[in-house]
Amino acid sequence: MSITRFEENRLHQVESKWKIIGNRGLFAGIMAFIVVWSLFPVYWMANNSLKGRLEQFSSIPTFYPHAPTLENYHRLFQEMGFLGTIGNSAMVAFVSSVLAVAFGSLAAYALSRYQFKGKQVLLAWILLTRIFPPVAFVIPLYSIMGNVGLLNTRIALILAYIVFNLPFAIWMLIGFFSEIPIEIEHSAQVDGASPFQVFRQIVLPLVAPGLAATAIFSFVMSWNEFMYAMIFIQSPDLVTVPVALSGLVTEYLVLWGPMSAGGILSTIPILVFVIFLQDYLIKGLTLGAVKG
Amino acid sequence: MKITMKEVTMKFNDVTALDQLSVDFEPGNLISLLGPSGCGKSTTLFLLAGLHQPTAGEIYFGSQLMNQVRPENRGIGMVFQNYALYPHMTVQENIEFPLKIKKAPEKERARRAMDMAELVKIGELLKRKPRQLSGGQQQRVAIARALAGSPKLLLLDEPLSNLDARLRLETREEIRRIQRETGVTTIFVTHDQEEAMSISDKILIMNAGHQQQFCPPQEMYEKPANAFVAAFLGNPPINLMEAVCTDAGMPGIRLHTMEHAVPLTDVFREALPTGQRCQAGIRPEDWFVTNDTAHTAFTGKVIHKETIGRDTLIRIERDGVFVRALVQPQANILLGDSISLGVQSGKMKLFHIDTGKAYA
Repeated sequence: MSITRFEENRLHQVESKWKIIGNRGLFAGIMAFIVVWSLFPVYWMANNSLKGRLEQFSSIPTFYPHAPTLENYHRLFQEMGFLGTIGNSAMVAFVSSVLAVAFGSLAAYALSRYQFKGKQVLLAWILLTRIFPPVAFVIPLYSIMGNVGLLNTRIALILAYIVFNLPFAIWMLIGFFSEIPIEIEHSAQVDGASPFQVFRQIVLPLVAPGLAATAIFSFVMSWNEFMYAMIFIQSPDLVTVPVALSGLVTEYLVLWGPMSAGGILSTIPILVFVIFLQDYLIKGLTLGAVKG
Repeated sequence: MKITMKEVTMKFNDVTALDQLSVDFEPGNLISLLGPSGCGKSTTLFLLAGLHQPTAGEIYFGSQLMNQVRPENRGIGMVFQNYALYPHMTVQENIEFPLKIKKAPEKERARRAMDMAELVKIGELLKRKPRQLSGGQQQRVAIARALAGSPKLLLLDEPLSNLDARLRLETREEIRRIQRETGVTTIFVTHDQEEAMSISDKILIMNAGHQQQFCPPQEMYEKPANAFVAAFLGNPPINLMEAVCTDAGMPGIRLHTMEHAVPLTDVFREALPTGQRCQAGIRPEDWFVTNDTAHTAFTGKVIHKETIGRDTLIRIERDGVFVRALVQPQANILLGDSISLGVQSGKMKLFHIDTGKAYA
């Protein structure tokens, strides 16, 4: 009896071992599929950007460039002034994100910590600007920018992006601020810190991951924004990356090579930005703040 | 520094958390604020810290009115229930924080932090982050930080509630030692009567926003001002039951359901006329087992018995009235036995039947 029981157990163990391997295999398979699914377009873009025009249009697509060339990149920089375009995008996205996060953090802190009349209305109103599609604001913003003489300037784009990034930043940061135990702030107050010192020395360092996440989202949104950039900017030397790339679809032909090269290049600043901030992102700073 | 609260009232919207509290805390004392949750003890602490503004009344530190003084300017140290350490700072930076805010020179800060760390015996942990510490160590850091700024008043908000039983015992002795060494006036909030009894110079016991009694612990235990205080202090809890004054030749007191009375002590005679109903309070340790009917205050059947260490606790019942008594383990009492209990002389406490206020 006991022996058969033992055998049974062994059988069971072997079976569950296979089951574990099977589960892991399945998991790995699904993960691999998701990774390929999302990265293949990027790969294809990189692949295309290194091909000559002839190879791009070969009837049997080549999965790697048989005659790799940097010609597309060369054209992009030499003929189309792409460096300036990236600079425009970077500047607009960076400034608008920094301002949105700076003002957003102050507003979110106040909204998360203080009780005042009309707080709910204010919160709803802030959210309202995000409920309408951006296109709804194009005409009013265009006429406002026109009236104050800001059309065809990068400042117009920065201001427009803040309009959208600020509410987002506020809503996102309220959550992060609310997670900080109020006792920590009380404690700092009792230790002699003024409200601003509490904010600057205790609260801000603790929401650093939230600030980083918000900054990344704002940056990506501004970086990829197309419609406002298209409408507010006319001079070729002021356009941003998405507009410049769309300009490669011309009346007679689509410049796939430079377009791919530009697409690849346009992902680099975002990667740099994310890598730069990821340290803050993954630091679970509030961990261990209070027991329990 | 002497702390004075004058008719301090605190309302949160419609809820009165604290009702006209008037009390003086003597300098250098360790005072416990004791009471069940929601009694207003933490509110009192937060009012002293300046984290709440009183609805009415005045708070003085020494002779200075503090109502309008912001928490950061009150010169206090505070330890929170969850310690509230700054997670992004090392232990040393945590302890130095009050000094850094005061812009103390760096060398002095480091020296002071070291002194404080040694006072609470965490000298070797200065470079760690709070999350790398155990609960007891975090608690010590919190105390060191609260003391670093040389506060005139130290406030402790249930600082032991997150520690395990053994550590709690050790830490409360530590708190008492540190308080004696530094001589800082300390106010300690707790809902644990044993904690309050063991370390305080005086206890302020509160219920539902009202002060119940303010006196040294032993006095409070022996002469509770009312039935609430009597019931709150002591473990196992006091037996409270209805009783009535009798006069069969001499004044006596008869417990509910009993036929005969025990003599009434002199101190109660004037306050309690014959026939007056009241609440009698007898602590479990104040009973004795007796065969003498003249001494018998209560007779009943033993329904429960437990021996823990040196004590034997029995529960006896008669007509729906239950009584807890601590008896000698040697006394050979079995479940189901019928036994008679007498009350040690002068140990019976009597309270007003409605208000619970103590007689005499």
